[in-house]
Amino acid sequence: MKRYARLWWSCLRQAIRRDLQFRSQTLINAVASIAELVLGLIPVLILTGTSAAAVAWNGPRTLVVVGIYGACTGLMDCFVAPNLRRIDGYVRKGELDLILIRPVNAQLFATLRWMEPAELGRVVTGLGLAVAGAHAAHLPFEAGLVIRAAIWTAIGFAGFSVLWANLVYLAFWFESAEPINEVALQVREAGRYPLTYFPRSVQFVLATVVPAGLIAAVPAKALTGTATTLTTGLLLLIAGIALTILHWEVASRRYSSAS
Amino acid sequence: MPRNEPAIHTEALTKTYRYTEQQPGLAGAVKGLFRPDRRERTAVDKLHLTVPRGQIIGLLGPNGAGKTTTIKMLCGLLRPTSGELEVLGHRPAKRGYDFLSRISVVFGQKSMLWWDVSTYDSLLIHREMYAIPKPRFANTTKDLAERLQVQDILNIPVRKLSLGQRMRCELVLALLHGPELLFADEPTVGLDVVAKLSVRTFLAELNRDLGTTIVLTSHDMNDVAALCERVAVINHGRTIFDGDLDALRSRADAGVDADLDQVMSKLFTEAADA
Amino acid sequence: MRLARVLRILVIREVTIMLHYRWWLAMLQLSNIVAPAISLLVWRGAIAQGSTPPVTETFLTTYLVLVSVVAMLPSSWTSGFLADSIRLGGLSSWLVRPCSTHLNGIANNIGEKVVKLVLLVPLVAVLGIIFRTEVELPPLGLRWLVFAVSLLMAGAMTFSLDIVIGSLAFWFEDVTAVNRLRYLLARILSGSLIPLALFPAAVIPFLNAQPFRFMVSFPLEVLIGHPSGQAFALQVGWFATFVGTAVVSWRLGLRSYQGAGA
Ligand SMILES: Nc1ncnc2c1ncn2[C@@H]1O[C@H](COP(=O)(O)OP(=O)(O)OP(=O)(O)O)[C@@H](O)[C@H]1O
Ligand SMILES: [Mg+2]
Repeated sequence: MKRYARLWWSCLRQAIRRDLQFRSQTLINAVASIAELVLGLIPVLILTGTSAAAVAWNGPRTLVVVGIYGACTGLMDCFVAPNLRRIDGYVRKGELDLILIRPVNAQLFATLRWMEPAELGRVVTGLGLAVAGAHAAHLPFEAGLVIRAAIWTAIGFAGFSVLWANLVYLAFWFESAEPINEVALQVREAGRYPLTYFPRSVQFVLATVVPAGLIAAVPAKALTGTATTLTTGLLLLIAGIALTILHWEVASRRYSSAS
Repeated sequence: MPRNEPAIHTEALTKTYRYTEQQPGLAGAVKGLFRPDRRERTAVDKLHLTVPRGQIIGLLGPNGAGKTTTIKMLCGLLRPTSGELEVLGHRPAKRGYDFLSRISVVFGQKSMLWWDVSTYDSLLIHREMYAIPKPRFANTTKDLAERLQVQDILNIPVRKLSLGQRMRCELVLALLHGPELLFADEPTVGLDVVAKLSVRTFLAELNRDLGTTIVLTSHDMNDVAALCERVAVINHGRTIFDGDLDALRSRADAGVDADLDQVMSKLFTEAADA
Repeated sequence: MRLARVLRILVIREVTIMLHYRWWLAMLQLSNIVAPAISLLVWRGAIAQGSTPPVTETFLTTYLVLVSVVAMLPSSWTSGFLADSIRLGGLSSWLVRPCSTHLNGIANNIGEKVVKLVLLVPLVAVLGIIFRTEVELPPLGLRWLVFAVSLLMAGAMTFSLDIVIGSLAFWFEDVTAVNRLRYLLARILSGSLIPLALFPAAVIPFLNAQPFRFMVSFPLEVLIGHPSGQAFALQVGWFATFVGTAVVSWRLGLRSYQGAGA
């Protein structure tokens, strides 16, 4: 375990060093990452602006959702997405060999190897937005609630990453799986909106199979004190992770037999 | 237009590349934004060259001498910085239809064929581009394919061809429209002896049978010896020699059967010392 | 005439190549339809719960069902390819031919559209069937014709914008950042995410005047809304501006082309 922590740390250091080398590129990417958050806010605010009263939701609380969403997806785009985007290439160009021969868990290594620290700009801005929104909405600040919300976000983060990973592993089975990353990204956008706006059936999907709703909407609700039990979420997540490990085992066996 | 007018005529042809030196890091990038470090490099320097029709001329010179730059100006890719330039009675940089359809270019380093379709498909595209009538297209294709022995590989996607096969297909494509003037920039680079020989024979036949003027660059002195009745040696953008191979040998004080590679290398180092 | 024949054969070639990538393109289309579908879900959810947006539910639903196709048709992806060919010298192969590289760009875009259309129309049809009670299309006639013209102008505008951005590579090393910014802006301002009419009244005059509107939103407005004559004039104006800028920047750029590569 300690070995993996050190490996991860050295990968992170390398990523930061690389970003410092291409500073102008990094700066532009950080700005674009934040601009994405701000521009993404517009349609959500317009929606709540015209219809907040109708669904018992309001602008400031929308800010909380979008803020948490921005922060959480920022983390995802920094630590998870760059790796998932590469899986398809690993498989198509046979570069997975270079990972399989290392004396580390290949799946873990293939998930944590690459990072984009520039995306972290969105984490800071997102958290700022969320705090400002919570303040304006007069939400009670209680450590218990915040921890609860944080755990939900973590479940959403892990859950959606797991889903994305499984989609990307399709590359082992199909040749042209690359745009699946784009599909995953677009589906994730659903997490930007408060769940109440979706029809019931879609709400259920967004809280389970496609856990985009757990990234921000559910945590924001948890902050208001509307309690939802964590246990089902955790159980589902564990099942999802187990399935993903299984999927990798089967798929990578297929890869080594193919090459 | 008069038949005896030269194919290429240049006077004091000059090309100066402008580029900005980039300092590493953000500070350098910001500095470059306000006070860019502009540099100039004269790649071709007051070049005088007249090539009559029907000649094969070899442009020789060490790496970075300015051969490719000269060719790029002659075929209209680059605008000369100064000097006079007339090719087939046209100013190349205008890139008019009449001019472009009378010349052709082969770059050894760059493919003109479409990568993921067969050579024949590329030929079809060129047929439309150069408005070649169908019967002439069929005849030319057959003739060229026979001469270059590519009948069997015309229908294979280009990305699956070997370098030598591809180069021969490049030549078919380049000559489909029957150009009067062919620029060939290192057409034999990376080819094995067999492929080299077939490209060489082909170019010689082309010049003999159709009277095509050919401007050739190559670092392979055997190519030059086999093809070029005239060579122009360029160094640092200037002509340091212009004449036939015998004159080149005597210029370097070498015998009739002296190794051409040694002759050239002597010429280059002399020029560097001078 | 010669150019038309060249264009035809280039398009045929593009389609054959793209058929190899059909699953790749299909997946890309799936991602294009997700964003409007999400907008559709939340807005209909809001309306169902009593919200009153400034447009009718029929307009909103029809708009969001159609927008993925209408945004795809005039889209263009040439800027990146063009910039690369300038930077790496691939442009040289085109400059020595008696045929503009842009004809190839146009052919490439048309080929992509042909293949994508085959893939996207079924997806949109499914959406349309799901929301059939709320989708309303005008009968065949003049309106469709004007829609087609407006769509063509929109296509010419995006293509011109691509040439302008691609031409920047004549002077600058890297245009990816400019491109990323352009797509971010276009996503919001062109109305491909939500109809521009939903924006706050204060910004509507600005939104109606800016060029991105005429790249997606306006053709759709022609089809299912009631744009003013003034708006048509504005589209023609922007169209001319964009095409003109593209021609000028390309000419200027070619002058300073350095023809990279050995
Ligand atoms: N795009 C460019 N920008 C700046 N300088 C350039 C550019 N292209 C070429 N040069 C410079 O101009 C000079 C001549 O280059 P050119 O490519 O014409 O040489 P060459 O004779 O073809 O050499 P080689 O035998 O290596 O192909 C070189 O010093 C080169 O560095
Ligand atoms: Mg060269």
